[in-house]
Formats: sequence, C-alpha cells, structure tokens
Amino acid sequence: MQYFLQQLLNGVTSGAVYASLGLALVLIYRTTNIANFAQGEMATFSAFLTWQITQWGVPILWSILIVMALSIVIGAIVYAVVVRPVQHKDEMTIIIVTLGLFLAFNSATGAIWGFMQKSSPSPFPAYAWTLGPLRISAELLSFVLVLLAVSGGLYLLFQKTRLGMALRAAASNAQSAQLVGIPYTKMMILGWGMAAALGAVSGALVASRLTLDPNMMADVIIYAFASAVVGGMSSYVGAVVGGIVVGVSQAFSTAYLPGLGADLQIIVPLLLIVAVLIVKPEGLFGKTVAARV
Amino acid sequence: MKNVLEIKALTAGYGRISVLHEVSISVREGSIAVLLGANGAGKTTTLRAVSGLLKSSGQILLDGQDISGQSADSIARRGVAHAAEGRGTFTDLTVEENLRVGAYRRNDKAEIANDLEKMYGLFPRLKERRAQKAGSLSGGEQQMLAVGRALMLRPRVMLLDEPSLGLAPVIINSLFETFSRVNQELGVSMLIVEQNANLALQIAHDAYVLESGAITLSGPASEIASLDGIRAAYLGA
Repeated sequence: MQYFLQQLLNGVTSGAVYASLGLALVLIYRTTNIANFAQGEMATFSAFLTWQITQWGVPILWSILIVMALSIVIGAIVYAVVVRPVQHKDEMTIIIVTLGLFLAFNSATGAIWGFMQKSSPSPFPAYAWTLGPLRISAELLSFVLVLLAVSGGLYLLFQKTRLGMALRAAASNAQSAQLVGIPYTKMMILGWGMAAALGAVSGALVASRLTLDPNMMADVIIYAFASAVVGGMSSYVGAVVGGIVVGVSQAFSTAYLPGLGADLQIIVPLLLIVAVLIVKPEGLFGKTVAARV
Repeated sequence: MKNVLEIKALTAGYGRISVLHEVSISVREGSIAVLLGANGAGKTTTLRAVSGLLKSSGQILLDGQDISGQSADSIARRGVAHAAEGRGTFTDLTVEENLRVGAYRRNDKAEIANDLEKMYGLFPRLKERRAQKAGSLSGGEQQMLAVGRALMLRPRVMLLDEPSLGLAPVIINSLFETFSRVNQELGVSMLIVEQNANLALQIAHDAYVLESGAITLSGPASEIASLDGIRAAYLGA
C-alpha cells in the first residue's frame, strides 16, 4: 500500500510536467487549430535560456520570469514569421512546418549550448515531509501548485475577461471575429506567445527534475500530446487530468511491470491514447463536433 | 438628409476576375437601402468590399471619411456591422457570448448590459437559449443571433447579406418586421442584400439593382417596386 501510494505521488509529479506542456498544446490548438509538434523543443530552448541567465548571476526564479517574457516574444515571432503564412494551408503542410520548427529549435539549442548535459538550479526547495510511511517532496507540492495556478489563470483569462472572449471568438470564426472588430492576427500572435510562455514553465519544471539536455523534451512532448489527446485536445481541465492519468500510468507501469524496462515504458501512455480514441474519439473532456448536413 | 455610407465607383474582384465595375451606392442616415440582383450579380462582393474583407478600388465613405483599404477589424471598430452570408455564428461560444462579443468595440459596460436586454426583447428565443452553445441553434435562431450581434456593435450602418436565406416564410416575415422596427426605433441605417425582393422593397426606402457587377437602376424603393421590368425579373409578377 505504501509503495502504491508513493508511486501514485511520483506519477502525479511527472503528470504535472506533462500537463503543463499539454496546456500549452491545448492553448495553441484552441487559438489556431494547430498541433504544434515544436512545443517541447521551444520549451527546451527556453529552459536553456533560463540556465544561461542564471549563469550570469540572476536568481533562478527571476530567470524563469524573464524567460517567460522572452518566450512570449519568441512565440509571437514564430507565429508571425513561420506559421501565419501557412496557417490556412492543408494540414499536412502545417504538420511539416511544425516538425521543421522542432528541428530548428532542437538544432539551435544544440548549436548555442552544446549537446553536453548541464545541471540547472531548481527553483523549488529540496525539502520533503514524511507523512507516516510516505515521503512528500516540496517539489511535488510546488509542481501541483504551479499547475493549479496556470490552469486557474487560463480559466479566468478565457472565461472571465474581454480579451479571453476575443481569443475564443477569433479561434471559433476568423472572419466573424474581424467583422466585430477583433484584430485577428494580434490574437493569434498572443495565443502563440502565451503558449510559449507556458512552455517555458514546463521547461523549468523538467529542468528542475532532470539535467538540461537539448533532447530532454523528446519523451515529454509525446506524453504531453498523450495528455492533451486523452483530455480531448481542446479542454484545459482535460489536459490537466490527462497529464495526471498519463503520469500515474507511467509510474505504475515502471513499478509493477518491470519486464517492460525503461525503453518500452512509453508504450503504456500510447496504448492509453489508442484506447481513449477507440472508445471516445472526442477525448475524455472533448466536445463532440457535430456537423450539420 | 446626409449619407452615412457612400460607395463611389467601387471596383472589386477575385484574383484577375473583376466582379464589380464602378458601383456607386448611398445609404442615407436612418434609412434602409436594398440591393437587388440575380445570383452572381456581385451583391455579396459589394458588401465584402465595404467591410474590408475584399480588396477594392474606388471610394468608400463612412460619415464622409474614406475607409477603403483599411482592415476589416478596424472598419468594424469604426461602426460598420456586417452580418455575413452563412451567418458567421461563433459556434463554440454561448448565445450570450456571441452577443457580447458583438459589442467588442465598445467600453460602456452598463449600456452593453442594457442593449443585451434589448436584444432579448427583440428575440425572446435567444433569451431562452442564452446559455447554450450557439452551434446548437436552428438556422432561424442563428440568423436572429447574427442580426443581434451586429446590432450589439451599435453600428453606424448595418450590412445584411441575404438574411432570409434558408428560412421558413413565417420566420422571414417576422425578421423583416424586426429590421423595420430596429430601423425606426433605434435609427439604425441598413444596406440589405436580398433575393426576396418583394419583402425587402416593402421595408426599404431606396433600392438599387445590380446586374453583372454594375448598377443599372436606382431610386426610391416604392418607385422601383412598381416598375414592370423589376416586377417581372424579381417579384415574380
């Protein structure tokens, strides 16, 4: 029982990481209807940028905040320069473009900072509480708090503010949005900028758990997609729940299916995606898209 | 009476195909103008050019100021409300959010709440469905929503593209009654594109006939309605 609970907590911790990147994917999908395969690499780039700034003597928390602001600019530029010209092309073109961005960010990170691993300072205290037989780390609590703050913030922004309503309207119908006076391109730029800032947060979470490495997001992005898809791709709550489900299932498969080994672990979340898509193609929290015929 | 919207020698098209040839239309302040014409005459193109969805040459004056060449969103913020063909509902937003987003250019919170109630007064069906996703509305309800959303902008001029398209006759009648009421009570100027010429001419003050991208006839709606050629071509008489 104790082992079970401890694995559960481990799963929630990694799940929070997947969920944070999953939220960024959902954000971009909801504003521009694009699945951004480069989201993880953009987050890695942000994590290295954070490391660079800490090397210059800036405290880690401030570095993260500075990089979040810089990431907004990076995301905005990526949208305006690379994505916007192809946004209304067919899906295959868009997939190729985001895969191209994946390679571009991965190579840029490697070219600038090298492919050697680096250790990044963690913004979270290394403290842990012992609760009976369980060990609850400050890291776990911080991850959950960050996740709650981010998803709560997104909820408030999108549901309660005029800007959020404009963002949703622009995503829902580009032409009608312009016809009520919403500057469409600005909204798209903002969506990509915010997603990149969110990516910077998940980059910081990953960096605090593992060592910095240009390929550190390779697995995480797959799990993040799993979270987003399990949650229904367009639901923020879904991405959070999806992330936790994926994280926990991964932790359990490591703990209880040792035969799978580290390399085959990835199968479990993938099976989960397939299962959800077979049973409920719109995802656990997704809305059914009804086509009027 | 001064003109709220003046279209002068408007020429527009798609790619190299030109659709409109020097079209000129005036909408007088507080009046309804109707633009008649067969399928493919360029009616929708005219409205799209005015609201900035389509590039055009010529002059488009809103309250005397040239707005041609501006982006669609800035033209909307200046007070041109275009209820486009196919209604353009924000299907993922609720009915109430659709109406609220129509008031995007405005900052007067209290007045927006006031106007929202006014819309629910005009369209009680929308009030019943205010919390529903707009994608679940019927065609007639979506048309009401499109009109309501356009009105929420507090437009200087409203462009309505085929508002009767796909609706049952009884709904069309009440919709046109609403247009007339909105025009008289709120003083909203309108340019209506309509295939249902009979009804449109009844509520309009001025009428224009568009044929193959050029205005071939214009004048007071009542006079246009009594012309034999028009009766034969558009009124089925």
